[in-house]
Amino acid sequence: MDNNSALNLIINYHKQIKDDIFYIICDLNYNVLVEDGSSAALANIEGKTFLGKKLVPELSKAIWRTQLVEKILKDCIASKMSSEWLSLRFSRQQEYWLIQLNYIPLMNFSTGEVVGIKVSASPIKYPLYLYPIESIITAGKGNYKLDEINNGEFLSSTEQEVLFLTYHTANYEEIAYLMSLAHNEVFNKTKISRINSKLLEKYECANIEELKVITYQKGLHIKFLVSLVGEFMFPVKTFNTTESK
Amino acid sequence: MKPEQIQQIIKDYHHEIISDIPVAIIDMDYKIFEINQPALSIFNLKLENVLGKSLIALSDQRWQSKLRSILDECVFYNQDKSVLSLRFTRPSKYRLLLFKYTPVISKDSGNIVSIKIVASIPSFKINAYVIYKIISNAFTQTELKAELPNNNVITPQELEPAVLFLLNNDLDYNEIASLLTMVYCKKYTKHLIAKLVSRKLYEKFDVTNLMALKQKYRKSKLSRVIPKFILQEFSYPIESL
Repeated sequence: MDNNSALNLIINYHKQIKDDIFYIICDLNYNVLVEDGSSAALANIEGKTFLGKKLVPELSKAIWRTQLVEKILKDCIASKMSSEWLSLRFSRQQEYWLIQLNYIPLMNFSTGEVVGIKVSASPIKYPLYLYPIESIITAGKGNYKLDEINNGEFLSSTEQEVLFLTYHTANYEEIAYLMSLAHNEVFNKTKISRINSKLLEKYECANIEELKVITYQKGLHIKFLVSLVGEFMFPVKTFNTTESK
Repeated sequence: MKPEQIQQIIKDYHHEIISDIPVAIIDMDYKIFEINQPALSIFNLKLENVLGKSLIALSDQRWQSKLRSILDECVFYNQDKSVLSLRFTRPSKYRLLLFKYTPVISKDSGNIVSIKIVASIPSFKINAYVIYKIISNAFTQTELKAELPNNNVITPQELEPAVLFLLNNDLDYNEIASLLTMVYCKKYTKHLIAKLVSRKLYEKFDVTNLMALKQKYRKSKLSRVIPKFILQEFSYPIESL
């Protein structure tokens, strides 16, 4: 089978069969050829369809995202290997702000060449903190971020961030480093210590260990605050089966 | 279009179009009718030994009834399902895998015609909290009894490191008791865990409170011991953690 026929087979197959919840298929020029029918609306794509659009640059408006997605697609074609990415994007419907994207090369068995790319998406079922916190913050650094909102809650936005980081780090230096990284301003050990004193007072705790237990009991340890990160695409593991062949 | 025709379309597609993702597809009787090379490699399987065979029959006996109910739910609710699975018979890199079961739908009729199974290496950390959430979400007590081997017992020597490990991961006495009860099918109460901590562990570590116990535990060799229940083979369905 030649590559054109293989591409047609991919298009026809996906027009008849839906084998992923959310997906699109694009050709080697990144033109979207097939879609699942519902994800464009969830992603708030203009016209509620991906069809007739290009994955890059048209659908990735921020420059960093355009460049990254283009690189991922090129790598996918060149290496013939799929890759998985966590993607945070606030223009999607809120339930889908954070999703996992899989870029899968579709190869013609006869020629061994990549003829198309499938991009499938799924909401992640695991808390974001299960991924490396520093890498996640770094991945979103400098990118579009939501404004901090304080709805008159028990804790201010900064206090919530420090509480979350206190649970996941070993000392004030680490918290100060991550807060500085996230907000692009200097947070030193003294400043973190002051915020932590307020937290101890608010939760009526005698020490950090007690505060950590309360954080866990209230389920606040799993809430990776959006105010800590800008939009990002973060690579998770690539499934490479070549070693086992 | 008849189901056989749809199945033929799926077969033809997967024979001509390949990817590096390990995929198997089962029919509505849960028999494997398509499995690609990456999947065969990972599971050390030969095509002739699995094609046309029931996925349930090929699975570990302890897991069969739960697997059937997951597949049934996948079809009934038209929902994808994820399962975290640890098997020591797989090559070391693939011992812990995340399986995703997705209904395959004919756009023509809107009917589910098969189920696609994709395997991947979990990309997230598996810590005590995750294990606790997965186990408590996944099983009823009866199901756990069927899932776990009969000899799944914990000795008093193993109990203390397990409790310390979970304490260090901030699980409280109640959570530790319910996790151990679920895993070992023997009743552990909050009171029993509290007694073990205050009477035995405080004395052994020569401390008078929980904070000091955790600090000493972290510095001790014991903190490098991973409890047995985390190292046993399992298949845990994952909802949301």
